[in-house]
This record gives sequence, C-alpha cells and structure tokens, in this order.
Amino acid sequence: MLPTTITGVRSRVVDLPLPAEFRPAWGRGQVQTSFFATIVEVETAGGTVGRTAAEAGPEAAVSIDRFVTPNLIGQDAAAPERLIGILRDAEVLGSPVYCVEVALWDIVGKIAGLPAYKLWGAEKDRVPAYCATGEVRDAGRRVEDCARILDEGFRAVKLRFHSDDVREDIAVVEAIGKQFGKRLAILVDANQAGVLPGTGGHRQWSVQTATEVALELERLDVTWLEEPLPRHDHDGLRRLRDRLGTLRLAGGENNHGIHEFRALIDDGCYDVLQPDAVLSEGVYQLRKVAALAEAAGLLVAPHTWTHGIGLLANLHLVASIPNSSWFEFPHEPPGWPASALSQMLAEKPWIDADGYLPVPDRPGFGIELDEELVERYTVARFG
Amino acid sequence: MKIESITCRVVDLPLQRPFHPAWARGRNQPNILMVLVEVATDEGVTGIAAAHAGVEAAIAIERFVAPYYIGQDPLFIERLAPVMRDSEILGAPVYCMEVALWDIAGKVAGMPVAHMWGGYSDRVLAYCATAEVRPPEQRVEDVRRMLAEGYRAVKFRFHLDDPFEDLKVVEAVRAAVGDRIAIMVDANQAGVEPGHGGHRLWGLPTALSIARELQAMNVRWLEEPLPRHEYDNLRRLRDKLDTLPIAGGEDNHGLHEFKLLIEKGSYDILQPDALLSEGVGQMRKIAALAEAYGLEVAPHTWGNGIGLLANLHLAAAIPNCPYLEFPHDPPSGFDLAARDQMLAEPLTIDSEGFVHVPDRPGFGIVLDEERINRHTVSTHTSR
Repeated sequence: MLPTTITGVRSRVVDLPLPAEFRPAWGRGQVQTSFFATIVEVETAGGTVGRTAAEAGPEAAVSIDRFVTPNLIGQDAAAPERLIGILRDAEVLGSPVYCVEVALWDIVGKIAGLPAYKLWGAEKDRVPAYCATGEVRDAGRRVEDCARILDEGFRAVKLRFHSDDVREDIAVVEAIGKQFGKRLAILVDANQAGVLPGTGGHRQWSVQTATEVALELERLDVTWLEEPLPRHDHDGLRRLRDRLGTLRLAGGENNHGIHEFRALIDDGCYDVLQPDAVLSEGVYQLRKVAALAEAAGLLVAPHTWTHGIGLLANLHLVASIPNSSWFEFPHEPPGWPASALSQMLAEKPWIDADGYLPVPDRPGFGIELDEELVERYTVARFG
Repeated sequence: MKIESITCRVVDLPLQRPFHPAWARGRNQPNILMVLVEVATDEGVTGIAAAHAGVEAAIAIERFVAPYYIGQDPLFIERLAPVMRDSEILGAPVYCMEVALWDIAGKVAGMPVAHMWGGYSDRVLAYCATAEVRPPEQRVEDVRRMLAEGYRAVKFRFHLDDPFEDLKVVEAVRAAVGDRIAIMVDANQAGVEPGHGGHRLWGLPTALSIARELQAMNVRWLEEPLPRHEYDNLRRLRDKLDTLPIAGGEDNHGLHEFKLLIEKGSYDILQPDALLSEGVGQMRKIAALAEAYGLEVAPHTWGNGIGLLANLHLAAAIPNCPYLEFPHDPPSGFDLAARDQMLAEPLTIDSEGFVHVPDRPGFGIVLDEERINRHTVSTHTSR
C-alpha cells in the first residue's frame, strides 16, 4: 500500500445559513435562507486528506457512496488522471460528482508541498475579480450598490436579467453606465441555459429576443452576455454570436463533460467558456478544456457560485492558465455576501486593493475548514 | 386534473440464484435495485414509473422534480419534460418521470400508450439478451433452448481480455444452428468504469478487427464498441463496415446528445432507454430524427420489468424498431421471472418470438404490491 492509497471517502451534508433573506434571480419567487453543500474528504493510508465539496445535498453524497467510493478504495489518489473515468461514469446513473477530482489533486498538492496552481505551471498569482450579484433590483438601488462595490475595490460587476420586460433590465445597465462610465465594467447574465425554463422559472428568450438584447448591450459597451439561450442550442448560440462584434457571449456552467465543451468550442457557441470545477468536469480536466479554448482563441472564466471550496478550486485553475478573464466573485449583501459563500473556510477569500483575488499560497487548494462551523451545520453523514 | 403527491419507494428485490453480469466482471449481483415512482392526482388516477436506480433517484425526484410537478396538470407533459432534463444538472437522471405522466394520460384515455402514439404494431420481435460470459459449449446449449422456446435472436457479451476469444461463442453457435437465430454482440465499451475493475478498453483498431470478423459471420449488430462520446471514431468505424450495423446510446442522455450521435453518423441503431436516457415521449422525437436519417431504434431495457414495459410501448409505436431487448439469462439469477418480479405477471414471448403490448390503459403496469411492500427499504413522499 502506498502512502497515497485511498482508504476512505467521507461526506458531510451541511445546510449553511444565509445572514438575510436572499431572492435569487434564477429562482423567481423563491426566498432562500440557507444553502446546501456536501463536504467530501478523501483519506489516504499515509494520513493525507484531500478535501472538496459538491454544490449539492444528499444526492451527491449518495452518488459518491454508490458509484465512486467502491472504485476509489485501494487506488492511488496521486494518479487522478487514471481515476477520472470513474467520476465521468458516475454521471451515467447518478449525480455529477466531478468535485471529487479536486480532493485528489488536493492530495497531490499536499504531497508535493505546492499549491495546485504552481503544480500545474503557474501563470499568475492573483486574478481580477468581478462582483457577481444574484438578485434583480431596480436601477436606483443598483446604482447605490455599485457605488459600494467600487468602494470595496471591484472593477467589474455582473447583473442579472430576469424581468418579463427586458427593457427594465436594460435600464439598470444604462443607469450604471451613466453614473460610473468606464470605472466599472458591466457583465450581464440571463441564466437562460437551464433552470426550469417555462415552469416556475422565467421567460425563455428566443434567438430574436437574445439578439435584440445583445445588440443593445453591445451599444452600451457591456463586457459579456452570459447564457442567452438554452445550454444545448449550439446552432442558436452560434447564429447569435455571428451577429455580434464587441460583446462577448459566455456560458457553460450547466454543460458537463469534456466532450460537451469540445462541441461548444467546435460549434462556435461562446467567446468565454464558464465551466465550474465542482459542477462541470474534473478540475484538471478543465485544464484540457482551457487548452482547447486557448487553441481556439477563447477565454475561460469559471462559474463559481457554489461555495468557498468551489471558489478556491476554480481560482487555482484560472491562475494556472493564460486565457483567463474576469473571475466570478459572488457577493450580494445582505442575503448572500462573500462571507456567507465562504463560511465553511477558516480564512475567507477577499480581493486586494486593486480588485484582484490572490491565490492562497498553501499546499493543494489551501482549503482550511472552520471545523466548528461545519460540524454545527452538518445534517447528514455518509461513508 | 392536478398532481397531488409523488411517492418514491426504494425497492431492493433479491435474485434467487447467483448472477455474474459481464459488465461487473467477477462480481455477483445479488439484487435488482429500483425506485418505484407513483404520481397521484386529485382525480384518483395514479401514474406508475420506476427508476433503474437506488436512493439517489428518489432524492433527485424529491429535490429537483416534485417541487415543480406538485399542483401541475399531469397531462401537460411537454411542459413538464424540461424539469426532468434540468434535474440532471445537479442530480441523478430522472427521465423515468415521463413514464408516470404518460401512464396517467393513457389511463385517462383508457388506451395503451402505444395506441395513443399511433400504434405501429401490437407486438415487437424480442431478442434474448444474455448478460454472463459463458464458454461456447454452454452458449450453444443455451441457444438450442432459446430456439425451442421461440426466440429468434440472441445477444452475447464480449468481455474477455482477448476479444478474439469471445468470437468463439459466435463461431460455435453459427456452427451448431446456422442462421436459424440472429446474433447480436455487445461489447459494453461505452461506459462502466473503463479500466477500473471493469474490462479492457478496445480502441478503434481492435473494434474494427472484431467488427470485420462479426460481419463475416452475419451478425445483426455490434453494440458499444467504443466510449459513449467518441462520436468521430464511431463514425470512422461505421464507415469501414458494409453489412454490420453499429449500435449504442444507452449511456447517452438527452435529446441533444442523440441529435449529435445521429448528425455525426456514429450509429446505425440507436439504443436509448425510457428509464435512463430521455423521457419516453422525448424518445419518440429521437425515433423521428432516426427515421428521417434512415436509422433504427432498439431501446435498451436492461433493468426491471417496468422499464421493459415502457420501452415496449415506445418500440411498438414507431416504424423503425427492429427488435426489443428482452433480458433473460437462465440458469443465472437474472431470468424473466426475476426481471419482472415487481409485476403481477412477467412478460413473455409468443411462439414466434414476439412480445405483445398489454391491452391495458397506460403502460399496463400491474404491480405485485405484496412483494414490493416486503422489499421496500425506504419511502419518500412529496406533497
């Protein structure tokens, strides 16, 4: 048995409170007061523990127990490239469990005594963060928010387009642009890729609506438009993208598997790919997606609205690639401030004075848990 | 009409004798695990479905489906289908839900679902799907029994380290009974933990060599010779063959993936499963695409009797289904009685080797309630 031989996989489902009511734009009408995460620890014979977390409730823990753990026990955690097939196959019958690759690379990093991004050939040690909002708010309130966001040090903000009448959403962009000009880059997310279109969800855009909105946003000098169409409408996305000049199209958080990202790239759907290391593919597999994107002249800006552990995993990923862009930093006080997203971490990631998020210089992904808090909010244990 | 409640029962049904499926090399499968789903309405009609899954499916239905289905009219199936697709972003695949909705529709109409969908035929030719790897002599004996029972087609598994050794089964059966039985071959290379306690991965050159041998022996199709997302290699393989069709798709999910498989020319025969791959009604769209491209659809059904019934109605309603998979591999523990033990009566073939669509409303699922109750391990009800 090697010191890195896997001896156990344990999961804790935590139900973490939010400091105030949160009304996610993507869950119209829904009021959220807490969020689920499943914290996973991979144990090895030598005592090194790899950490990760799923953006999920018990469904991920059960899938790991049923489809992953029996195939991981006895394997070498320091050979993640040999184990990724297990994670991909789990999705044939179970929930996506790509987050487990983070734990394996966490072990490799700890054995090497290096942060993951340096293990992979560091490109930078900090990334420019954008403040990702999550609620729909009127123009007046958003202008106030953006004054605070600038004060906090951010240079970019992402807004949600979810109104029945898109002109109301556009008015918010106009007001912010008028007030702050080039001091604050604006990104827009339409969340049309999934999330129950048409059923308790939101109005679904046609290619025509998406084009109308995109041309208007281009005129307003917006940086990117995210998820304007369903996640598998490759032809529609390409047609829309072909109409545009300076406005970038972004998306991919709800696509899974390297094969899907290859198809998105080959089909010319997006300028900016947004996989998430705890949702879309293994974190190292996303380096392959990044390589495909680099070869195609595209950018990678991971989705990170999951939890602090996912944020760190994605941060190491982008610090190791040359074709990164703005980095998603979820921060929507009072309901979902950054401190809520990262409450399970002993040290909460925050931006520096230039609006950049520094990569922690600790081995692996530098995930240090607030064990007391994690235990307090644990609702189920598996493994 | 409104959906009032959704009940998921995890049922762990024992097999009476050992069963060593080829895809779980060496391991004995002692049971059939399924999730029985019952969708109850305010008008007293209940739709039945089953997932070929464990508690992960029950959790996914509870978390990602039930909140959007309760209170909805179950006859608005096309409007409810995207909810199933979206649940796969975070949860286990729950495509089986559409079976329950169409079961309600059929019961309301007082018609078998196959008739509601245009009733192409009342019966579908079965192939006897084996699962174990057995020596040639034993398979010759098996085939003699099958012929006596009325089967006109049989599927064998290729799983030996040297696939050229697997060919001996086909050679022996051809030598013994000539062309009296159609022979299919399944390599199960599409998924199932490639390289990990699973089986050897073939690669394109081995797949082509084996395919050419099978072609020379007039085999009806070769199933899953390559991983499920190697669209281009599948096409290259197919392009090099003359009379041997390539089949697959049970591990692909979603209409969009089948569209890709069709457009990329990966398969001659598509094999989605109404419990695993897409909603049963959505599979009719896949069948329509396949028909327009001159391809066949032969649903995967390996799982449980409820899935077999759902796939049977689909198969009977389309013009391009050549065969229905009929899992049955005595004397192992997995025979038709074990497969259908959750039903009041097992499905059987007629003297010409066809399975008949039951002349009952909906999918004609009549449960063995007593047995199901006895083997229920957990119940999850949403209201």
